[in-house]
Amino acid sequence: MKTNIASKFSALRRPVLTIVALVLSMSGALPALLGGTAYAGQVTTRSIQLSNSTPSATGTTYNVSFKPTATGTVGGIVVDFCSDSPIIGSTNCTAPAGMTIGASPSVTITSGLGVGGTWATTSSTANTLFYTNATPQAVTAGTSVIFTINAVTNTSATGSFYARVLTFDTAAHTTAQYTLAGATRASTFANELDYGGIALSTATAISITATVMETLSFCVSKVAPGVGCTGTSVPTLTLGHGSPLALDSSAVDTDTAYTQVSSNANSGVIVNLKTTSSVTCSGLSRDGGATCGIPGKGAFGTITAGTANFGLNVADGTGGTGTVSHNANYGTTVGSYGMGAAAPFSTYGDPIESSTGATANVNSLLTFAATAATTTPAGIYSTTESLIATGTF
Amino acid sequence: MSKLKRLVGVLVLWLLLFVGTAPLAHAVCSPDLQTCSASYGVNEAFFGTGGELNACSASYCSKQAAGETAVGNTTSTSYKAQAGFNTDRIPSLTFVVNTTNINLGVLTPGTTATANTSFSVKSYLSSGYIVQTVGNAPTYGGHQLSPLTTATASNPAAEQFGLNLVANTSPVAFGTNPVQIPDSTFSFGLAATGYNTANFYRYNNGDTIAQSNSSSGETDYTMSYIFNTTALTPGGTYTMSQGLVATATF
Repeated sequence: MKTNIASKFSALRRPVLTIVALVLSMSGALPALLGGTAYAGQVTTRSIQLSNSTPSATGTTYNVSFKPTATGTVGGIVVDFCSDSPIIGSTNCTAPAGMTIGASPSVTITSGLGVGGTWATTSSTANTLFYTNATPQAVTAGTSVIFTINAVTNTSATGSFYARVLTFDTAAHTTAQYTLAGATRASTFANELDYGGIALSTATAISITATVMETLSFCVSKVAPGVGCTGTSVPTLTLGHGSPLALDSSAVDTDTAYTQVSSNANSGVIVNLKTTSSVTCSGLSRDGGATCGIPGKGAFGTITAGTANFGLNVADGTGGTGTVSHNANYGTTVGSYGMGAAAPFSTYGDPIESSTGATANVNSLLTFAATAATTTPAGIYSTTESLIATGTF
Repeated sequence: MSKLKRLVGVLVLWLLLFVGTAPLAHAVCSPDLQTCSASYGVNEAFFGTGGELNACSASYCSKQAAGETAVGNTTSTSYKAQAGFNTDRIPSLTFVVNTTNINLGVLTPGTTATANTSFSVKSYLSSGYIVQTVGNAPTYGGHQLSPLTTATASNPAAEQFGLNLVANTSPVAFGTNPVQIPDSTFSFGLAATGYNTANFYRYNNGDTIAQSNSSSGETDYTMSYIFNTTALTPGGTYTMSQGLVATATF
């Protein structure tokens, strides 16, 4: 009897072992036989980051990120934006008001998703992105798939809205399984690989307003002004040499004054020189401008002793904060001078220096020079120059 | 013969085991189920007495709970569970900016101006969230009030713009620390590094200013701004449109 049982057992052993081998091999092959659904699961570490959360903002970038549950290939990704629910399988997905991802959505793959074949956004709607590739591309379990949806117009509603993210095995299955009928969606999706819901939110931007008052502080002084135009003196200049001071043809005589400019003018300050004592003479006159015995120098250059001329040299600003620069017609070579023939007595005068931005307590040295010719009529020559600072804010 | 039976039994068990554990579940169950087998699925369920998830009359529905002894969540490195009769299976991100307009009037060089705005964040079933600030510092005519790119104390003699999310005592007492609603056992939002030190202010476009490292109830944040100008600060009306972007990771 023992022998009989043993022989039966022996006879059964081979088919039993065959079945065991089959089962074991089947267990390994089963996932493959089940196709894409074999590793369907909820993606983890999923998020959608907005570049701008302001309602109705245009040109917004949505950065989509999720980790696939399994290594494999993906032929299609759906990102469905809904105002009512992120639940995959919920049969209603109302489009967020005013939101559009564009008629032909622009998508840029950042990482974690193969870029072979051709990814396309065909079949997409205003709130549903279909991103498919006829050549399924590799993804790796646990490695974030990151891509951006570009040029999105945010929903006009303030507050929460949702996205449903699904991946499919092939491009064909993506569009065939994730069907849209208005706000209606299917409850299950064959050939789905991974899925996940995401909540997002818009929020009103904070508007901040603050005013900085426009300021302009400008002074002219015989001596160098201190900070804030302190310590100034009346800029009365006398040109000449000897005693009493007098001009003649033997020398070029000079005297100096200073300007100080402080302003928060964003585009800087321009200082103009305007001759107010005459409407025809930019130089020195002994009769209130009726005649011009010592005319203005004209173009910037050297004044030669014995050739009657009156001119001005403007040095670049020093001290303080910011930059004040001479105008080319008035500086800055030491010993050279300029004085427009007509511009100084025009309505607004002639620019002599300027800044390109805000300045504080910048002093500029002005050097006036004059000489007489041997034919210059005797007399007391004078002029009144007004300096006008104009800020552009 | 008994050995044969045992062997066949083992075989049957193996078959059942493999068929039963094959990842078919998602293919035959609704995909919104939190867990499922070939035959059964559970999404949001209520077990026991003392509550009802969906108590409805013809006109109204309610969720009911009574005698709960424990609510909240519990987590491990791999799993998280929300406990309580009325937990919801819908992930959420609630983000509200409470103050949307501030006007500081005229800024005076040498004097620090301050202001506050506030926002609230709540994120459910997430692994956390971040809040980023988006937008340039107040700007006029191409000039930005100098943003403090690192956390720095207020200096009225320098041009500065910055903010933080905590209670300060300098240059004046203003601002508050993040407030957890209802308390710190339910809500976990924090001011981010660089924005979490009293009397130190910072601003970089795109910086994360607040965050939670886990699903969190409501946290109310107060942003405290400083504005310092100098005589060189270009005159004009400075404006800033500050967007706040909350991103939850689920």
